[in-house]
Amino acid sequence: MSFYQLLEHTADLGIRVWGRDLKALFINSASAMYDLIVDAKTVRPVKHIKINAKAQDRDELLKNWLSELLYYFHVKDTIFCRFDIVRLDEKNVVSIVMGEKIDKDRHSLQHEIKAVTFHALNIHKTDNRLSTDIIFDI
Amino acid sequence: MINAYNGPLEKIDNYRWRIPKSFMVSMRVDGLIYANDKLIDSIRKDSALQQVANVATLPGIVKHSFAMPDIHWGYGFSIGGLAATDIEKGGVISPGGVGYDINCGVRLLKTDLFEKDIKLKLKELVYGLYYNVPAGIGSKGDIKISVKEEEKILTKGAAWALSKGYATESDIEHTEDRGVMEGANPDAVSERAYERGRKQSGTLGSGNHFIEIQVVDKIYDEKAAGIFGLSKDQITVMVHSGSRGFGYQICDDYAKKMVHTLSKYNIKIPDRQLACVPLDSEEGKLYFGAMKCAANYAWNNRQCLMHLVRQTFEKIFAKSSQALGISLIYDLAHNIAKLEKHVVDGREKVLCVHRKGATRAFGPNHPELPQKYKDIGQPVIIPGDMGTGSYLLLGTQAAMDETFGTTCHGAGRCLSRKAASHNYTVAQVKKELEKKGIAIMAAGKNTITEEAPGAYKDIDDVVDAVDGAGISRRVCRFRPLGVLKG
Repeated sequence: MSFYQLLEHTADLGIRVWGRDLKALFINSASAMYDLIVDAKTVRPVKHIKINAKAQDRDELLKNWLSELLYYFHVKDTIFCRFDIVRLDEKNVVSIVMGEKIDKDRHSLQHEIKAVTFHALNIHKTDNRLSTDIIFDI
Repeated sequence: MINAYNGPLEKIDNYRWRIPKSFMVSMRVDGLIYANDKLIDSIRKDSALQQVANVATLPGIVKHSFAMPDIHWGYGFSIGGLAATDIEKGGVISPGGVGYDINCGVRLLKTDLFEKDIKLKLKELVYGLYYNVPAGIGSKGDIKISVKEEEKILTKGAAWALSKGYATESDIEHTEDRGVMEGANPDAVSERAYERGRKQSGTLGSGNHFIEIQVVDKIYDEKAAGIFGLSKDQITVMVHSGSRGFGYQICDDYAKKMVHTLSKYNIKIPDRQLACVPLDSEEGKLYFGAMKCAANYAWNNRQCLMHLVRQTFEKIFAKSSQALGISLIYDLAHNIAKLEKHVVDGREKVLCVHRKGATRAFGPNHPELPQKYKDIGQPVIIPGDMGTGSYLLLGTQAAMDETFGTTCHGAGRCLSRKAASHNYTVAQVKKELEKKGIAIMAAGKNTITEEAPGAYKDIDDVVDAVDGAGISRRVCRFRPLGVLKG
């Protein structure tokens, strides 16, 4: 996928992700995260859930929002494939995400992303786009 | 993304290297790295040494920011790092200095079986473990627990397993801290952590976690091996797992909180993942109380996994665990923070010792040791990659004097997961292992390539460095026979 690339990180999984604006960067980060977890093409948008997050700045906001999404993976066995950002500023995000419960017959799980780290997060402008690195603990 | 380290690095002797504190104005102490010439070349290639320097900026840090020879790039702290802070001097505690997988650790079981006894049963044993031990992504345990039971696990640790018949008194006796840290505070644990933990008791997990059937390949110290009841060609089992999603959630909850309290305590750090608070603060006490819950969860979990290993052996050999001589040599944590008494500049002090990818290695006669090991020192279990070997070492007085009784924790990765998946195929790795007579089962699709032996440093080099430096000494080396990967 062209909106993100895998980075070399010795211990964990790292990605570099791009978006034309903050909203696109958030959506692309979430899409990339689920692309690492499962073959995204196999996930059907059968239920939708409202997911909000708050933070003190946009780097932390992205981390907190991705962590909220992961909560549904860890506790509710739910994975997502569509992300609709309803409202977004530097400190708040309101989103409606769509996906379904994990079905081991249809979903081949690839990585267990256990946490999103702060380590390399730094949303910045590059070539008229926004970009950041994200390191996931697996 | 991978930036090689370009800062200063001074060779002290064949096994010690220094990053002088003059490297960065904010460094409070020197960085001290244990490695031989071969390992240091690989260590320089990523940002791990920069992270050693960053850790040296933490308030209250004493002596050095240490790195073991298996050090590699983590987030915030490097993996293979050791940092102790002085509580009296505003010393901090950092969730990042413990890591997400709180009390990730290893346990080593001995059996009275020898290689010839299991040769024909090896595949059956590995399949047996595969079916008996829940492993892999999001695995859930057969050991079902209620909210009340979960609280008991958090405060009692491995004693919970004992009360349910999943442990013997001797297992508890041979676990670091007897499998429980006192002062665990279940009220400091979020509802989310409870939710993640409840389903996962008695599960192995994914990634680098494993259960491995091994054989004693080489003995370096006959006397110590005798005390462990080990001789050449004898079968042992190693279990590597941690606190599962429970510990991750605690680390995540508190790292998030501590990013917001940095200004309150006037703490400046070069990386948010190093977020910390004085241990003596309200937030510090809450994190420590929650961390202890996760440590206790992990000790109980590894004990439950041992119970499943016992069941598997009993079924396949149609003999009782006692008849097979299955007993615990030792269980230890390699991601943890602890309050310990150590002598600094001639004075005994209470320090908060963070071991992240580092193992406690107390020398002989330490009061914390089980009676059986008083004369020889603490057993130190060092797992290698799945194709090479693992070691049993002993803690030394030199470790007490130099490294707050600490040594390395494993081989340490040298290749990223991306590079490993690119370099190897599942068939290739399986073939290579089969050639060595090693049977493998893996729950995860990517685990076999990402955890390929070539993705790790040479365990023999790592152990050579800690033995050469004197911070632990070799007892024996194990060769893998059968592996269950998460």
